[in-house]
Amino acid sequence: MCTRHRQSARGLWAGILLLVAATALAEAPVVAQSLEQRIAAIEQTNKTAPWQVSAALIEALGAERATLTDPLRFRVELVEARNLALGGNYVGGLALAESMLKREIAPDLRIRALTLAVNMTTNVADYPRAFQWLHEGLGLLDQTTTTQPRLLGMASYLYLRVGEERLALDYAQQALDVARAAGSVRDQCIALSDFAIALDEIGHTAQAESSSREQIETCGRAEDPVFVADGHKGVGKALLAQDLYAQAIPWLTDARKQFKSAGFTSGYLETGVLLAKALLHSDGPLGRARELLDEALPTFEAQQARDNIERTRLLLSEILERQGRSAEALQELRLAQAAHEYLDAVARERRLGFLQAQFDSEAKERRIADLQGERQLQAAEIAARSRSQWLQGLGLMCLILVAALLVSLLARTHSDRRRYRELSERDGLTGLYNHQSTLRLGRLLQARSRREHKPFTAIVADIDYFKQINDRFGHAAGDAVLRSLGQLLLEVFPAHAVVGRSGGEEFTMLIDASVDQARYLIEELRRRTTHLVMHDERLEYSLSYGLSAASESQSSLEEILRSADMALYEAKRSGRNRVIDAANLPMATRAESGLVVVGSGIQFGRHLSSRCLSEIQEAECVFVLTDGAAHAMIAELRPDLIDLRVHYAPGKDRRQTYREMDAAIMAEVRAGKRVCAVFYGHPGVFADVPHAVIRKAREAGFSARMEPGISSEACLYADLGIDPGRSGVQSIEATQFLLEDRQIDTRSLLLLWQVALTGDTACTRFHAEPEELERLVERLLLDYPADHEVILYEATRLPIEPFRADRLALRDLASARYEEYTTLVIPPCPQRHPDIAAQFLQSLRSVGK
Amino acid sequence: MSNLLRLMKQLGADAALAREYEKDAAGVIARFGLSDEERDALLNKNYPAIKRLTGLKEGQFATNSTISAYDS
Repeated sequence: MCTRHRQSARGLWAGILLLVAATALAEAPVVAQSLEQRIAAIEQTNKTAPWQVSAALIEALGAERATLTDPLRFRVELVEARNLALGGNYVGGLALAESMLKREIAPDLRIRALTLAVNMTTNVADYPRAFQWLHEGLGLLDQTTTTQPRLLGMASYLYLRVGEERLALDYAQQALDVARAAGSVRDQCIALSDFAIALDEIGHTAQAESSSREQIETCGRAEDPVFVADGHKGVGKALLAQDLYAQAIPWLTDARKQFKSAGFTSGYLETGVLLAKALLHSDGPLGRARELLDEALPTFEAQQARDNIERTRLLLSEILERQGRSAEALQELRLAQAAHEYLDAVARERRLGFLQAQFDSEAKERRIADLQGERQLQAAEIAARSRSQWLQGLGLMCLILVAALLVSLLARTHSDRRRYRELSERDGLTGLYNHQSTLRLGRLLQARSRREHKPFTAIVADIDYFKQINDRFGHAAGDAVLRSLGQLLLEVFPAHAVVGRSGGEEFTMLIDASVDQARYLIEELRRRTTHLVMHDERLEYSLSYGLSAASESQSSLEEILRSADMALYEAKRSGRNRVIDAANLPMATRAESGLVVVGSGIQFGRHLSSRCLSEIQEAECVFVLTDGAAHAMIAELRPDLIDLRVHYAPGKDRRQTYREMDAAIMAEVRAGKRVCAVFYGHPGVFADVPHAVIRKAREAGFSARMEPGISSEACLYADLGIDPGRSGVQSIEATQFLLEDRQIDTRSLLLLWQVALTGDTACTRFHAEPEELERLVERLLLDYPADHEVILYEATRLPIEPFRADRLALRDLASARYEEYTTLVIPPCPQRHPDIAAQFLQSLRSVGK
Repeated sequence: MSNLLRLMKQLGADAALAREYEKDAAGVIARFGLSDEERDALLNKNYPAIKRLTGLKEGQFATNSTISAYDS
């Protein structure tokens, strides 16, 4: 369950568990042991075998569990909470840990529970709670005599994730010291790994290398092959960071072999990416490097390991560029950027969590200090009252002073909160907005410019050959260039423009101005950004710029930025130190990828529009979610179609199915293809995936639109001869109608969809439940007479079959026949018993609560 | 695509063929070269059989492709 060794650690533990599972299974249950010994064995098994083994041992405690003392019960529950998390049930694990933390227990056990709770909250990205519990755990360390290197290691990991590198290193050092002084060899092995990671992250690569070498030796003594491999990987990584590429290759090759023999796939693949980098920079075979990346990428994508995806795709881009395949290289860069943006958002969330926890603890300390001060003042007041009248006045004055103090503290609290918010929105080095804030503020600026009918232009700029600046003059010089450029950008661009650092040496400027006005600002910037003097040495540098204006064809910020990015890429490709307007790019270079979602209608041959047919024929990639007949007809046009029905499974929550469909479609959109997704009926009516995937494509900067289709509702009006314009219509899914306590306007037509699935809030059922139908009838009888004629309607999917329109009395609905797609049509009638209806709705609400 | 599916597609799209089918279903069926099982199902208006033969029964497209607001 531990994720604190970044992405790889989840697998690291899995690897360890797999390795020792068989042994533990053989040794697990032991008879004639004391309860204390059995609990200790369960704890040990929980660390070394798959979690099901310790779960079975707990189960085997049976009735004896009721006789456990509080500490032993607490220890069993600790294992249970960990097992829940290992099984993927973080909600359950956290709920159990939270209930345990409400009980009085010895500090060492409480620290263990807190360590576990911090681990789980980190896994679910609840950083405010993670820091809150971490602080509590650290505060308890001096109350226990047992060593707690794991909590200190966890602290190191969390502080690394929020950019508090010094603190992270301190904690990693403390964890190592504690483990060396009193911990097991295995504790020392893991602490050394933590220490190496912290050193590596803050750039102390030589020391990281040394720690990794020690890790290899120590973990060898602990007989832990996975951490031995991790040590080899650490040495290789440290050598890479020191540009010693050829030396890194044997270390990484060894690490890969060791990870493979230990069955730890993530470690094996991650090391492969590092090895690819080493090969790439030591003029090794490009083909081999490419193989290593291609091997790793599918797993990283499946794991959604964005940091690994970003690293892999950046290297792929580099290889493709060397091979002269610029368009593919650009595509890889885009995908790497998408992964980076995601990581950026997560990092910001972590930082906010940290700041909030820090803020809360500071505020708590201040409150305690205030209360103590107040108590002292009250005592002084009582004493004063007993002595003399005038001293009472003094006491009152003191109280006024306290009030003033509290008001001032309140103001400071507000100001602190504002400051923390500002800090979380800014890039620490340049003081410009970070990427997320740039996008957020950019959207606001764009909306305002649209309201005021002003033009809107996006500029992306990138420092040319920035790596060479770092390599030649050092990272301090690189940072100085970034800081100086940040200052110049703020001076050149007007205050209302949004100026941000997108990451690395790339900047984004958004302004409500025309392309010409933006060009003028860029020229001013170019005039002033020529060189910097560092230690009496002149450091020349330049930037490349891409710019793009909002237009009818690209209205979303993401689309505009994407075009500006393409222009920047062209500026780089065509020699750097220049400005390219996306409008001047050749059509072939501009984005042609994107998504169109079309409806196949209810009857394919009858309802599919010429445009939808053409979209299906023209697309590079076609996804289909229709009935088998329409599917077969589309397959004749497009034998290469991708069937979305494969994502369904019996008993599977449809919401999960939908998200898998989104991911499949978006993967092709992101790959730069023209994608067409075909959905049954009208793709935008009562359908989750089409709307979701269009939104996601647009958010990712791709064009996306929907072509309507003939829906079942459209057929209903035609078949039943009903004009919804005459009476008005209420049209809603049956379960939703009940859940939301919808008021019925009986003068309107009422359409209830999926009436067979009434009450299926789990989204797994496909048949009618009479009890649920009776509940629906009961609800409807409050507004309609029992003999009110209703219609069960099914549009026909065959051109030779009549549609279904069974007319029956409302009271008979529960015993009727239903298909999954039957619609209940309730014609208008005057409203009756509105007071009883209101009472029923009230009772529904109270049941719901 | 099967001949049966081809006929269904044409019947949906072609008004003249649909009118001809209403008058002389057997003639149209013979022209499209359907199997005996397909022909019998059409002439007997055995809709469940036709849905099975055309693939209309396949999958859970009708409800599964939709979702309620409470899902989100």
